[in-house]
Order: sequence, then C-alpha cells, then structure tokens
Amino acid sequence: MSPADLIAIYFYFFAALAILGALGVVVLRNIFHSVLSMIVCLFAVAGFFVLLNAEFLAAVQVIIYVGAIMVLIIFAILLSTRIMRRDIVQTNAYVLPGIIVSLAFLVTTFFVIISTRFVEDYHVPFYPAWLAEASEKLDNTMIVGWSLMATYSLPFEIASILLLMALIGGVVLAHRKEDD
Amino acid sequence: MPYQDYNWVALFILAGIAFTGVALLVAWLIRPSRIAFSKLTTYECGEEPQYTAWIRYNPRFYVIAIIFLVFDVDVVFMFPWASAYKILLFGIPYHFEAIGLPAFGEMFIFLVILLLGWLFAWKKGAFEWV
Repeated sequence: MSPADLIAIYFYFFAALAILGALGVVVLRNIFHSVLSMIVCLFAVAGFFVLLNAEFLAAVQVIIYVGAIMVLIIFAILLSTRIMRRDIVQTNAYVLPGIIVSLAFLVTTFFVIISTRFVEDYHVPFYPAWLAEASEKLDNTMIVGWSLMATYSLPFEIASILLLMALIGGVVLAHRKEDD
Repeated sequence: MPYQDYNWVALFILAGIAFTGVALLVAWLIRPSRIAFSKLTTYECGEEPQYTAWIRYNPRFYVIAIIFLVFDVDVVFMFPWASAYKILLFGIPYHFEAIGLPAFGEMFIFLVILLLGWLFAWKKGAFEWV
C-alpha cells in the first residue's frame, strides 16, 4: 500500500466521520446528544488538518473547538434548556427553505471547487525555498512558536491582555446574576 | 512530524477502539444476565440516587467554565512556545535566530497578565462553593 493510498483511506475515514457527526447533530432528538455528535464532527475536521500538514491547526482545532467551544455550548445547554422535560420536538416546518439554502450552498461549493486552481496546478511553491527547506526538519508548530516570540511578540502579549479582559468580563457578568 | 509518524497515532486510536470493544465483548460473553432494578441505578457510593440527572445546573459552574476557557486558549499560545523552545534558545543557522532568555521572559509576562485575571476571579469569590 503506497502512502497516497493510506492518505486516501485516512481522508475517507475522516470524511465519513465528519458527515456522520454532522448528520447526528441534525437528526438526534436530544439536544445534548447533538452536541456530543458535533464533537465527533469537529474532531474529524482536526484529522483533515493533519492530512493537510497543518499540525498546529489540528492541535488548535482540538484544543479550541473540541475543548473550549464545545464546553461553552454544553454549559449553555446545561444552564438554560430544560432537557429533563422531553426531547426537543423536531418539526419539518422549514423543509422548503432548508432545501433551497442547502442546494444553493452545494451549487456554490461545487463551482468554487471546479473554478479553483489548486496548489498542484501552479508548479510554483507558495513559500520561499528557505522556509520549505526548514520545514523539512521542523514542525510548523515550532515555526509558529518561533515567530510568536521573535516577530510577533507584541501581538502575543496583547493577546494575553485580551484574554484577561475576557476573564474579568466573564467573572463580573456571571457573578452579577448570582447576586440577584 | 513527518506524516509517516501519524500511522502510530492511527494505531493508537485503533488499539483504543479495539481494547474497549474486546473488553465489552468479553464481559458480555462471560457475565450472567440477571437484571434487577437496583443494579440499573446509578452507582452512588451507598447513597440512594434521587430524581434524574437531566436538570438545569447551578449558574456558578459557568464561572468555572469561563476560567477554563481562558486558560484553554492560554495553552494554545504555550504549546507552540514549548515545542519551539529548543530553537528559541539555540536557533538554527541562517533560518531562525536564537532568542534566548527573552523567550522565557515573554511567556512569563504573558502568564503574569493572565494570573492577574485569576487573582481577580479569586478575590471575587469565583472559587468559593459554600
């Protein structure tokens, strides 16, 4: 089995997993089970990033989407929905708009795919030769880490201030509710 | 990481699935099947479980979730820093200059700024339960 075959197997595995997860989000009747299904879908997307050699993005996908965003959504459900009463009743009131929107999305995606020139069509590397040479030896996570410290150290520190603002804002808002 | 190494990751995932499947299958094959109501209840260390677990939770858990989110994003910044620490200290000739100790200092400042928020949450009583 050649590496290309193996990559194709991985791709179809993750594609099937992503589609099944996304279907589960829509089809499952319990909203909490939908969230768990969404985790499967987002995890499969992390697999795509690995296949595209974007290892750092794959790690970010797992840490941010599977970790943080899904925790936020799970908490939103735990704190707001009365999930104990009954499962969410699924209605088919929006069948026609749903079909129109998804068909439009499908057609748009199709035309974007056939009109895009992919990397193989260019025959010119996208990045400078020294970077290509360096990335033979290094993970792109390392290159991202080095650029964070060397080139982008000020945005890096500003990011921590942004996180500080989010933390203080979240604590202040959540606590005000509790005092009532 | 060269892509061949991901075959090991795939092997780990397969082994994990197989381990769970085999353990459940063997347990299903050898266990006796005598169903009783008390066996199907949630195991609660001697306490009688009451009502259902599908309830609205106390909003104070939300503060914990927010704090988790912030430090989760913090890990996204720490993780490339940690994996690049060797080239930050020693550099690679012609490609990546060595930064040395300031690389440690930058992460220190980053964490101190976040620690301020953590102290604020602590002072605000976000970690108090009673």
